[in-house]
Formats: sequence, C-alpha cells, structure tokens
Amino acid sequence: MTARAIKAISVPRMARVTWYKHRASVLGIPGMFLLAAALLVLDSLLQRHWISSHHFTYCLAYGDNSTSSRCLTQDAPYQLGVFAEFVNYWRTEGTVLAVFLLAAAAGLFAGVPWVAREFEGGGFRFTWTQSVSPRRWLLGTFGPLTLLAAATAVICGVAAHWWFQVAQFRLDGGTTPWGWESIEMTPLSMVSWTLLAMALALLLGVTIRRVLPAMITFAVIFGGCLVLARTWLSTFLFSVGDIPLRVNYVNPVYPSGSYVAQTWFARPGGPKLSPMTLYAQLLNVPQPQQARWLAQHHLTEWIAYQPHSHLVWLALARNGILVAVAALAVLASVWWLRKHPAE
Amino acid sequence: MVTDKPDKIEDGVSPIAFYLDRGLGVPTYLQFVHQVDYALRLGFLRAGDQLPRIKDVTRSLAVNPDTVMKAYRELELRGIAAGRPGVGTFITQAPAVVGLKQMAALQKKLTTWLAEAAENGVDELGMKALFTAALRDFSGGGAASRLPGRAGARREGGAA
Amino acid sequence: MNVIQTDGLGQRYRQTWALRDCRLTVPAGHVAALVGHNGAGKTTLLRILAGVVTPTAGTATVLGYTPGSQQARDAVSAVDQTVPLYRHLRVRDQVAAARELNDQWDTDLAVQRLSSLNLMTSGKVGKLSGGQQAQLALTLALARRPRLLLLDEPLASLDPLARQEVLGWLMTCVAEDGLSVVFSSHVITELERVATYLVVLSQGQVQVAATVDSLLDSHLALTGPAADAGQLAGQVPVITAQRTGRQAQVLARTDTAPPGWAARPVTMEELVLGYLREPAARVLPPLEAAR
Repeated sequence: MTARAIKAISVPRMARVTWYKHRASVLGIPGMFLLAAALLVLDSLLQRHWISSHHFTYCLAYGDNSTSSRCLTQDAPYQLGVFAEFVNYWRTEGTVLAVFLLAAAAGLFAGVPWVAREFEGGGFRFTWTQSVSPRRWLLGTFGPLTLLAAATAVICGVAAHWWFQVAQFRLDGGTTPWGWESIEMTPLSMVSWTLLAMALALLLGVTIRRVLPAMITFAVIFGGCLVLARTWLSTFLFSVGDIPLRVNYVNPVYPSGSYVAQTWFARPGGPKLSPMTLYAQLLNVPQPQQARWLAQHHLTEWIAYQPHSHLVWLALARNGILVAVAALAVLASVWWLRKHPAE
Repeated sequence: MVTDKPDKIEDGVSPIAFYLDRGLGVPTYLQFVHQVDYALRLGFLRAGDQLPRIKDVTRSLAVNPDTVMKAYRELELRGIAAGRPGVGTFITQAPAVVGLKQMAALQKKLTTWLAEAAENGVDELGMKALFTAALRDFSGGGAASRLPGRAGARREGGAA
Repeated sequence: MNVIQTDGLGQRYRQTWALRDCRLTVPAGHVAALVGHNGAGKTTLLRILAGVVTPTAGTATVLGYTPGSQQARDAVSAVDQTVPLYRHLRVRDQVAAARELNDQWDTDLAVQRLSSLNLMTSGKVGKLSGGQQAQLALTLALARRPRLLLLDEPLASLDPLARQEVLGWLMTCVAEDGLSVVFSSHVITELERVATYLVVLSQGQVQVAATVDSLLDSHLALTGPAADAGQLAGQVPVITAQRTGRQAQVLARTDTAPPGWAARPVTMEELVLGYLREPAARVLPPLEAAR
C-alpha cells in the first residue's frame, strides 16, 4: 500500500454524519427558537392591532419626552388600565421567563445528551477508532449545531425585542430599561446565553460522561449562572463608571432613563455616610423641616448613577462576559478530552 | 446432502480440495502434503494440475495462509510441485510410485510379521502400537519430524 | 518491523493494576492470538493499542505510531468487546456515517458483504442480533482497509457456521492484503488453525510471547513413571506435571525426550492450557543483548 497524504475529515462530511446521528437535535433546537419567534410575532401583532384599534399609540417613555395623552406609557394610567384588561400580567411575565429559559432548554435537552450519550452509549469507541480525531469530531459536529442554535436564537431575540416593546407596558411596578427583562429580551443577550448553555453542555458532557448526572449538574450550574448574572454581576457591572451627582433630598430629580447605583450622604470633604441610619433619623423630622435639618448638619445627599447612554455598553459588557465564560468552557473541554480521551 | 462438483476442470479451479482432520495430531501443513501425495497416488491429481489457490483454502477452511504456503514449500522441496508467480502452484511430476509387484511383496512380508506377532500373543491393538512406535522411531520422532528441511532430507535419504 | 511494541506498559484503575510492566513485541505479518484468564488485562491492552485508553505508565506503539494519533487511527482498525456502533441509527445510515468518517473506504467490500449477509436493511442497528452486530462491526472495520486489525473476542456472539465463515474471510484478507491481526479469544481450537504468534497474559503481565512454530518446536508432551516426575524438574524446564497413579503427564520445554520418558509433539491447546495453569512460567523474547 503506498503512503497517502493524510487529510483531516472535512466539516461537510462531519455535518452529514451529524445529520444521520442527531436529526432530532439538529431540527429541534432551531425549531424551538423559530417556533418561539413565530409565537412572539403573532402575539405582538395581536397586541398592536388592539392598540391601534383603540386609537392608542405606544411611546417609548425613556429618553423620549413624548407627552401625548394618547400614549401608552407607564405614566399614562388610564390607557394602561384599559390595556391591562387585554394583556394579562402573568402572561407577560411568563412569556418573558419562557423566552429567557429557551437557551437553558437547548443546552439541557439537546446539548448535554448529545455529548454525554456518545460516551455513555459506547458510541465513542466506534468514533474514536475511525479516521477522525476525537477533538475534531466533537467540535466539528457540536460546533455547527451551536452556530445553528445561535443563529436561530438571534432571530428569536429580534422577535422577543419587538414583542417586548409593547408588552412591557403590562408589567406592574414599571419596567425600566435597566431591568432584567429589558436587557434579556434582546438578540444579543439571547445569543450569549445560548452560547454559554451549549459550551457548558459540552464541558459537562465531556467530563461527566453520563446523561442523567450531567443533565442534573447542568441544571444546577446553569441555574446558578442565571441567578448570579441577575444579582451579583448586574450590581457589580452597573457600578462601573458611574457618575456621582448631588441631589436634593426633599425633591430629587434624577436624569431621565438613568440607573441609580448608589446613594449616600456626605459632609463637605467628609466620608460617605450610610443612608439607612440617616433615613431613620429623618423620619422623626417633620417633612417641611427636613431640608433645614440637613443643612444644619451640613449633610448633602449624593447618588452615583449611570446615564441612559451607558446602558448599551454595560449590556454589551455583560453579554461579553457570558461569551468569554463560554469560550473558557470550550477550551476546558478540549483540554480535558486530550487528557482523558475515552476512559 | 451431497453437493456435486463438476468433472470438468475450470480455469483456476483445482481438481482437489483440502480438508482438515483435527483429531490426527499431525500439523496442518503436513496434512495438506499427505493429501496431495494421496491424491497423486490415486490419480485424482496429475502432472500439470493446479493445486488449490491459497485464498480459496483460507476462505473455506479458515486456516492461516502461512500454513498453505508451508505445505506448498514442502511439496516444492520434494520436487512434486512448483509455484508460478501470479498464477498458482502446479504439480510438476507424480512421485515415483512403488511398483505393484514390490507392493505385493512388501504386503506379504507384513502378513508374515503379523502372524508371528499373533503367535507370540500380541493382539490387534498391540500390533498397532508396535507398528506406530517403530514408524515414529524410523521417521526421527518428536520435534525433529516437523522441520520441513530435515524431513525432506530424511525422505530423500531413506528408501522410497 | 513490529506491528506492536510496548515497554513498561501499565494501566491502573483506582487501586488495581489491570496491566503491569508489559513488554511486548509482535512482528509484522502475523496473526497474533491474545489469551488469558478473564481479567488478565486483554481488553485493557487492546483498548490501549486502539488509542481509546491512555496508559497510566509506559509506552506503546502500533505500526510505529503512537496509538490514537492520526496515522495510527488511519492504519489500525479495532473492534471492541462491546461491539461499538451507533445503535439508534439505521444500518444504511451507520454505513454511510462510517464512510464519511474515513478517508480510505472500500464501499464495494462493505456493501457486497453486508448484502450477502442480509444486513442492509432499513431497521435500526440496535434491533440486530448480537451476532449480526458483530458482523456489521467487523465489516466496517475491514472496509477501512487497515494494516492492523485489533479484535477483542470478535466471534463470541457468532454461531458455528458464521464463525467459520468470518475466520475464513479474515484469513483471506490476511492472504491478499498482508493484514496483521491481533485478536483475543477463548476458543483455542480456532487459534490453532489461525494464529502464528501467541501472547499469553497473566495477571496483567506478559507470560508468553513467541511464534507458534517456535513454541511447538520447543515443547514436548512427556509420559513416564510418576516416581521420576520430581527428578525430571531438575533435568528439563517443566511447565506442568499431572500425576495419576503410576503415570505422569508432563509438559516440558525441551526438544529431546530425556531417557525413560516417551515424548510426543504437543498441541497448541495443551501448550496454552499448560501455561495458563502455571502463571509463573514464562516464554519471553530474548532482550537485544542476550543470546
């Protein structure tokens, strides 16, 4: 037999094998995102039709000084009350949550079993003895699936954002552009969470190698990531590059569309004082005299805020961190696979 | 069920086929050599006939091709067969067959010996045991009989 | 050229060593049989050579390449004991997948053989019987046109007729393509017909590694008086001795019968069973310097 040049197995060939082996996942994940997008578009069309038939328009309240009385905004209670009879609160909140968890579903029900079953079912002993290398195989088949999921996640994200523009008016307590719903219902956030979910699924599948334990671990870890992102990460990120501003305690005016990261009191040239104790003290002071009481103690209230213009950058940073963690997870998977190819 | 093989010799098909007798304790390649020898004596094989192709033997009997090659090498050493590269192995000449008259004389001598053994109280099994032991000793016995070179030399040196 | 070469190969699972300090050299052009007790390390050794397990200690090469490297995977086919296949695929898709995953692929061989075995069905691989799955796995392994084939108990689930046919087919591939084979098996009668090199593993170490010819030439089955059996051990290397009443049957590593003992050539079965009964006995290839 003459020596022949060793070619790596090409991606289209691996894609064909992926199609034979994982038809359900290849159709299911994009199908899920596209179905969700279709449903969101449908629901939004219904809502917009209702709005226009009642001769309302919807105005984006933040950074937008529209004061038309026919505007459906958080500051227009009559319009909102009528709208509320049409759109249920829980339906809105539920939909937001469901869309938010699509990425988790992709990773949990398709990503994790995909990788773990290759090991648990013994299929890897077939794959690893063919001409394709284990690393190339995993990345070459899982990669395209992830790209497909990401692409359809973007489409779903666009539909979700369009839907949220109207539906947000039905979330009691008001939504702010800094709220988690506003940040998550965007294509960028959906793609980032999807990439993180698939990368985590790859890592757990390659390390744990048994379907059920890997799925449980995925649910725990990914759930932890969600909670962490909503609490710690947001708090930390939103105080980066914030701008201090002196405000009038009695009649505070915050810049439109801004996010207040911190509040404190201070004397001129003095340290930051915790607002909690001072609020407690001020409760005992009758309202008309509060301003004078503060002046007597040389206290001023300060806030540190993020102007509306920072939102885009901070959201980008938040999603960038998710994608960076995803990339680390992929690198860790490849490293682990090299150390422990099969057993 | 008997499967018939055609009488006509087709291209690339040998007139004989090898078989295995595991109970004999004789190495496989020697069994093949004996089977060729036997077929020659009985006229199933004639000079110019092709011996079974190695790949046919390996497929039907599931033996290592080395075994068949060893058998054919032994036959070549004895001058019975010759290989044609790319074609196969063919019978070059039938071995010198012992004449019928000599065979009859030898059998008579054997009968005399058997009668003497019977007179001395040796039964059939005993006769077989004596004969087998003598034959083994005569052929060199034990491991030495396996080496094709040595066996061939002994054959040539001994009476045929 | 050696198809297999290992040096100090060891594999540990938690506290036990499945393989320990294994030194093995199998020359090219052989059909090597791997024999040993259950748990002796045969499957572990084959998995390491296939590149599916990374050894804990020592090195191994197949055809001169590191197991698991690109060149090794191209030139070596392996069928594991568990007969790995994509069981939820249809047979046709499984064959197509195998074709896509390999550069060198003999489509005719695969299709013809599978058709003649009535395996090219539209059913799922998992629905085939154990023997059919083994046939499928073997066919796919050989359609890759390897130079070395590693088989772990390949015939275990096949009926007698299928065993004969598969062995015959394998031997034809050996004859026509110069394929080298290493296979583990418990059926010694099959090994007799087919193997030219014997490896016996015992408790994770190599006990015997030599060509079948040299083994059969260098051993004798001796029969003699039981009383002399003890003395015999001082005269020739005795592998096993079985005493029954007044007679003793001895397996010895010698090519001439000592006086007072009747000798006959030993069969492969007696040889293998003898060494399996006596794990301390060794037949190993000499080191470079010695002899």
